[in-house]
Amino acid sequence: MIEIEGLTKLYGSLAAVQDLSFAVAPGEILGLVGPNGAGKTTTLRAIAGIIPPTRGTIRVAGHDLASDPLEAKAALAFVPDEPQLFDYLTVAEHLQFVARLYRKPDAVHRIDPILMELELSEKRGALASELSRGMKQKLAIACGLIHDPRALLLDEPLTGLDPVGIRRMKRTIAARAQAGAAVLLSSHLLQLVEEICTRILIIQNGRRVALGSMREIAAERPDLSGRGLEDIFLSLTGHGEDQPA
Amino acid sequence: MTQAALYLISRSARNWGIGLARRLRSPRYFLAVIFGLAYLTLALVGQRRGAVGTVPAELVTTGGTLLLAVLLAKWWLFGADRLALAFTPAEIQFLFPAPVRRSALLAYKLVRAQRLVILNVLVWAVLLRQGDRSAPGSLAYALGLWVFFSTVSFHRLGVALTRESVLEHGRSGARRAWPALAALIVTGGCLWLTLDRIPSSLLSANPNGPLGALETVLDTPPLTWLVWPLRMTLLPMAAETTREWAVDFSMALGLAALHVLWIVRADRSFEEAAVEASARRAELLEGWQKHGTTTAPAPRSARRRLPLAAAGHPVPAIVWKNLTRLARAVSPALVLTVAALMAIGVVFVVLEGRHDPHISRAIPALALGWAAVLAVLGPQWVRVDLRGDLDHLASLKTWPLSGMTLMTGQVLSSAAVLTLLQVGLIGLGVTAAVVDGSLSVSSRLLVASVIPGVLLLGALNAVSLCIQNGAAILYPAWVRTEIRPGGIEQMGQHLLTAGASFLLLLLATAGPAVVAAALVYFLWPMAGPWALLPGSLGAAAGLALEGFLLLDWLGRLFERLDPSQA
Repeated sequence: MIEIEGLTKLYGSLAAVQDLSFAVAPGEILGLVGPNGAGKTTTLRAIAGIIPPTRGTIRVAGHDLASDPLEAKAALAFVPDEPQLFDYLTVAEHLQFVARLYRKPDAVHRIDPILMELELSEKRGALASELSRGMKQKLAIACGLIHDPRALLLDEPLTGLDPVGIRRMKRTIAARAQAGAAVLLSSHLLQLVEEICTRILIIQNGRRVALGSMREIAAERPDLSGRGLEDIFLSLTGHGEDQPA
Repeated sequence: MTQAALYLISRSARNWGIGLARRLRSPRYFLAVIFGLAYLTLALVGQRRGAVGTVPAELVTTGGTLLLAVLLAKWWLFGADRLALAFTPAEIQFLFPAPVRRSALLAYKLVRAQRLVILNVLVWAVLLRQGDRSAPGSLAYALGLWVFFSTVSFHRLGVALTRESVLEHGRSGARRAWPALAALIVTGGCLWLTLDRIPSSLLSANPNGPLGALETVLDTPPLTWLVWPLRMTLLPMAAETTREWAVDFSMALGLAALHVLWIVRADRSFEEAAVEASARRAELLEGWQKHGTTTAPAPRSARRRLPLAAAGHPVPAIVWKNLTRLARAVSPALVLTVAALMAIGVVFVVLEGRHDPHISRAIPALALGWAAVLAVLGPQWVRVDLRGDLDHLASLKTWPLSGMTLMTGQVLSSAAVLTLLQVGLIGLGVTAAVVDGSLSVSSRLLVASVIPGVLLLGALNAVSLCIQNGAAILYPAWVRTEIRPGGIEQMGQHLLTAGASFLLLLLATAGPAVVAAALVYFLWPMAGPWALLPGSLGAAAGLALEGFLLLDWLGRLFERLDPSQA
C-alpha cells in the first residue's frame, strides 16, 4: 500500500533522509522510530506530498506520488504532530470540508460516528480555536479518518491526549489497520510502538538502521534477543551504554 | 535586564542578518532584493536630478495631520493593533516569568520596535526625500522621520495599554486611565465647538481647493489647538531652515519623550493591579500554548454559518472556507460603524444639498472613487486567499487537488468579495448620478452594461489577486500573515510591495486595454456608447485569459513549493 524506494531528501548539503526504502502492506502498522533529527517527520512529510523528495520513489495505493499525485493523496491521510486546523471552522465543518475536498459525499454520514468514536460529539459546534490541545489532536485525527483512507500516516498521534483518549486512540488505529489500511506511525513512545505496531523501522541520520518485527530484528542481533524495544532502540542507535544495568 | 535585553536584541539582529543572507542564496529572493535596491536607487537618483518633485510643506503638515487624526481616532475608538502589546511566544516564555520589572519589559519592547522604525525611516527618506533641496539636509530629514515614526509607534502602544487597562479592570482601570479618557472627552468637545465655527460654504467655495479648505478647518480654534501635537510630530519634516528644524525637532523629541513617560505610567497602573496582571500573563502563556500564538485574532463565534453542499467541485468548498473565515472574523461593531458613517455622509450631503446643489455630486464621486481605489489597493486589503492560509501550507499540500484547482479557489475567494464591494459602490454611484441628473445615459444601456461590467471587474480583480498570491508563493517569508506584525512601522515595506504590484498590474492590463480600445474605436461610429459593451467584454476576455494562464503557472509553482523552505 505504501512503497518507498530510495527516498532521499537533501537540504543544501544536509541529508535529512538518505536512500530509505521500505513498504507498509494493507492491515499492517509500521512503527517509525529514531532519535531526534533522524528524519522521521521529513519522511512522513515527503510521503504526504508536503515536501518534494530530492530522489526516490513514493507509491501510495499503487499511485506514484510524483506522476499521479492526486490519486495518491486521495488514498492517504496525514495527521501531523502539531494539529493544523482552521480556527474559524467548527469541528463538524472541518469534517464536511475535508469530505468535499476528497470528493466523498457519503462521508458526511460518517461524521457522527467518527465524532462519537473520538469523543468529540459534544464539541460538534465548537470552533477549532476553542478546543484544548488534546481535542485538537482528536479533530485532526478525525479529519484524517473521515474519507476512509487506505494509507494512514500518523506523526506522534497521542500527543496531548489523556489516558482514556490514548486507550481509545490505540483502539482506533488498530481498528483502521484491521479494516485494511496501511498505517505508518511515528512516535517516541516506544511502549506504544511495541504494543500496537506489527513491524518497526528504526532510522538514524536519515538512514535505515533496522526494519522488521521485534522477532526479526532480534534474530539479526542475537545479543538483543528477549529485550524490549527500548533496549533494542538504544543499542542500535549507539546508546547502549544508556541502558539500565 | 538591560544587559540581557541588549544581548537578546544584538544577537537576534545578527542572526536575522545571517538568516537574510542565507535566504538570498535562493535566486528568486536575490532577484527581488536586486529589484528593490534598483527601484530605491532609481528613486533616489531621479529625485536628485529633480525628476520627482518634493512634497509641498503644506501637504506634509496639513495632509499628514488629517491622516494622523484619522489613524489616532481609529486606534482610540476601535483599538490599536493588538500586536502593539504583544510579545513573541519566546519572550513571554523567557521574560515574563523572569524576575524582571514590567517597566523594563516595556522599555525592551520600545527599543526592539526601533528596528522596524529605522528600516522605514530609510525607505521613506529615499522615497519622500526632501532634505537635499532644503537647508536642514538629508540627515535632519531622516531624524524628523525617525521621531515621527517613533512617536506614532509609542502612541499606538500607549493606546493599546490604556484600552487594555480600561477593558480589563473596569472602573479601577478607568481611574488609572483618566488622563487619556479626559483627553478623549476634550477631543469630542473641541470637535463639537469647531463644527459650529466652520463656514458652511467652505468645502464648495474655497479658492485654494480641498487642501486649502482642510487647512482652514484645521486652523479653526479650538480644533487647531487639539491637532497641534499632531502637527508638532510632522513639522521637522517640513522645516525649511536649519534653525526652524532645530526648534521643531526639539519639540517633537520632547513629545516622543512624553509618550515614553505615558507608557511607563501605564505600566505602573498595571503594576498596581498585580493580581490582574499575573492573570493576564498566565492568559497570554496559555493562549500561546493553546494556539501557538498570543496574537492571532480568533473568530468570535460560530453563529454565522454559510451552507456547504455535501457534493461538488472542491473550488466552491475552498471559497466557502475562506468566506466563512471572513464572515466570522468581521466584527459586528465594524459593520455597524461603516454603516453609520455612510448614513452620516448621506445625511450631510442631503442637508447641504439644499444650500449647494453641487455638493450632492459628492456621492457618485466618492462611490466611484472608492471603487477605483479598491481596484488598485483592494487586492492588498482583501486577503481571504492563500495569504491567509500561509500558516497552513503543509495541510494544503496534502489535499488531493491540483495546484491550479487550489489556487483558483483561493483567488476566487478574494475576487468575489472585492467584486461584490465594487459592484455595490458603482451601483450606488451610478444611481446617485442618474438621480442627480449629472449622468444622462439610457436605462437600456445601463442595464446592458451590468454583466460586461461585472465580468470586467471580476477578471481585473482575479488578475490582480493572482499577482498578490504569486508574491505569497514566490516570497512566502516576506508576506505578512495573521501572526506576523504589521502596523504603521511597516508602511515603507508595504509601499514598496504596492508599487511593485501596481507596476505588474499595469503590465498585465496593457494588452486587454489595447484590445478594448481598438474595439471601442472601430465600433463607436456605428454603435456610439454601445461600443463600450463589446470593449468591456473584449477586455474581460483578455484579462480572463491572462488570469487562466497565471493560475496555471501559480498552480505549478504551488506544487513545487517546499513549505519547509518557505
